[in-house]
Amino acid sequence: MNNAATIASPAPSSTPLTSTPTMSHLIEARDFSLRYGRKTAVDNISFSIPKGRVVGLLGHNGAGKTSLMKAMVGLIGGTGELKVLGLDPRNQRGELLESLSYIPDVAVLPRWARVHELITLMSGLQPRFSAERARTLLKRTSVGTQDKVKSLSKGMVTQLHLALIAAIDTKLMILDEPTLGLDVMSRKSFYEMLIDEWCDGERSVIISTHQVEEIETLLSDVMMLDEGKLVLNISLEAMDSRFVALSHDASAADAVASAHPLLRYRQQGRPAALFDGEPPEHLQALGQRFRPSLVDLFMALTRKPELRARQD
Amino acid sequence: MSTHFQTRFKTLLQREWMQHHMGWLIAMLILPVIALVALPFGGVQLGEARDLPATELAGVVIGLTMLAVWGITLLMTGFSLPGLARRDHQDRSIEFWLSLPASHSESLVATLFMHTLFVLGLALCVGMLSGLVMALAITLKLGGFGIWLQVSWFQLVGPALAVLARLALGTVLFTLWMAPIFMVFMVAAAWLKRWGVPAVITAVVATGITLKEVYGNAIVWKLLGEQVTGAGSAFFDSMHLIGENPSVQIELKGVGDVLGWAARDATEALAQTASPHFIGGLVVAGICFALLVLHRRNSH
Repeated sequence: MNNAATIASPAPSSTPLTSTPTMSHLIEARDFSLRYGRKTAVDNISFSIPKGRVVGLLGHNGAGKTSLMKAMVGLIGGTGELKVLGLDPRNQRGELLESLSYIPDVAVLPRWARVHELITLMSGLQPRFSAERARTLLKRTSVGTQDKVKSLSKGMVTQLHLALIAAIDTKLMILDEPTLGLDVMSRKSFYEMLIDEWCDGERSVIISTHQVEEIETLLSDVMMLDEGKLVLNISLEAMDSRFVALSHDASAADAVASAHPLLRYRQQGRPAALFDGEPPEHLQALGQRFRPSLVDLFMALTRKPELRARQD
Repeated sequence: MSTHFQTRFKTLLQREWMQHHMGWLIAMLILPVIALVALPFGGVQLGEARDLPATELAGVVIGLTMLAVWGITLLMTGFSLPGLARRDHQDRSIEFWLSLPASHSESLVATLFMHTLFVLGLALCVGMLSGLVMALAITLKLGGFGIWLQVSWFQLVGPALAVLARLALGTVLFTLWMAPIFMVFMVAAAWLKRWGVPAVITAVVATGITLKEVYGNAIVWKLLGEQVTGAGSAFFDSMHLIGENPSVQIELKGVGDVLGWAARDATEALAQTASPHFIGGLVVAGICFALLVLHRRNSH
C-alpha cells in the first residue's frame, strides 16, 4: 500500500498527457469522490484525459471503475469536480449524452427490438447518429437489419451495440467492460472495429476491462483503481521508462527482496522482481532487465494487503 | 419547443408503438374476431334493440362494439400500467435507454401518453371500424342481404362521428380523473416491485375499513367513489340522462339530436372538471410523476 501511495502522488514522469497548457481536456476530475452510503466507491481522485487517447481503466471487481464511468455520464453524482466535454455530467446530462458515446454493458440492448428499429430509434434520439454509417459498420458483422436482438448471440449483440455507438459522431467513447463474457474471436473483432472504424487520433476512448493483457497493445494510457483510489495514471510510454522488471537467479532472491520491489513473481520459469524506478546498481548486475507487462504492474499495484503481507 | 425535442419525443412515442402495438391490436380485435367467427353458429342477443329499424340497429351495434373494445383495452391498460414502471429493468435495457439523450420526464410522459390516451383513443377507432364490420355481419344474420339496403349508412356517419368525438374527449377526461389512481399504483410498483400493487390495495382497504368502522368516517370510500364516478361520468353520459333514469326514453330522432346531445354532454363533462376532486387528483398524480422521475433517475 505504501508503494501504491507513493505512485499515486503526482510525479513528473506520471503526469500524463498535459503536454501544452492550451490543449483542452475531454475529461477533468479534481478531488472527485463518490459514495454509496458509507461505502466509498471513488476516493478523492484527480486526473485529466485529452483528445486522441485510448485509456484503459483497470481495477479489480469493486475497485470503482463502473462507478467512475457512471459518474462521467451523469448517472450518479459525487463530490468534488468532474467535467466531461466541459459539462457537468449530473446537471447537464442530456446535453452531455448528445456529445458522447457510451456502452454501459453489452447485455442491455432491448431484446424485443429488431436491428432496423434500433437504428430508427437511435436516429431520432441521438442527433449525431448516422443511420447510414451504422448500416455500413453492420456489414462488417454477421448481424442483419431484420434480426431481433433476442435471436442474436452475445458476440453479435456486442458487435451490434458497438456498430450503433460507433455511428455516433462524438469525441469521446466510454466503454464499460464491453467484451465481458465474449470468446476470443468476438473480442478480437470488437477491438478491430473500435480501432479501425472509430479511433482517428482526435477521439478518445475510455475502456474498462479485466482482460488486461489483451488490451495492452491498444492503449496509449492506463488508469488503475484500487479500492476507489487512483493508484496509477500514466501513459504507456512513461510506464516503459519508469518501471523496470528484473529476472534473476534463485540465489539472488534475498538480495532482491531486501530492495523491496513492488512485486516478486516468476517470468518464464525464473524469479523476477518489478521496481518503480531503477533498481539498485548491485541488483542490476545480478539479473536481466526486461519490460514489465501491464498485467504484472496491475498485480503489483492492486494486490490485496493480506497477499502482500504473505509475500513480504 | 426545439426541433430536436420534437424529434426526440416523437421517437419515444414511436418506441412504445414498436414495442407494444401487436399486444394492443390483439387485445382490441380479439373480441370482434371471436364474435364474427361465432356469429354463423350462434344467435344474436340484443334485447329490445333487435326490434329497432335497421339503421338504428346498425348504430347500436357499432356503439356497443366500440364500448366493448374500449372496455377491454381499459382493462389491459389497468393491468399493464403498474408494470411499466419497471418494464426496462427486467432485461436491463434501462441502462441502454439511460445512455441516450432523452430526459427522464420526456421518457415517462411518452410512456404514459401512449399507454393511456393513445391506446384508449386507438381502441375507439378500432372499435368503430370493427363495429362497422359487426354491424354488417349482424344485420346480415338477422335480415339477410336485403337489410343492408335498408340501412342508411350515410345517415350514420354524422352521429357516429359525434359520438366518437364525445368519447374521445371523454377518454381524455377519464384518464385525467383516473390519473391519481393509475399513478399511485405505478409508483408503488416502481419502488416496491411486485409487492407494490398488493401493498397499495391492502393499505387503502385497511385504512378505509378502520376509518369507517372505528371512527365512523368513510372518507376513503367517498374519495375513491368521487374519483371513479367522476371518471365514468366524464367518459360518457355526464348529464346522467341514461344512468339515473334508464326508463327515460331519449328520443334522438336525427343527426341533429345526436350532435346536440354530444355537444351538451361534452360541455357538462368539461364543467365537471371544476371540482376539488379532479384538481386534487391531478396534484396527487403530479406528485407521483415526480416520484417516478426520481426512481428513474436512480436506476443505474
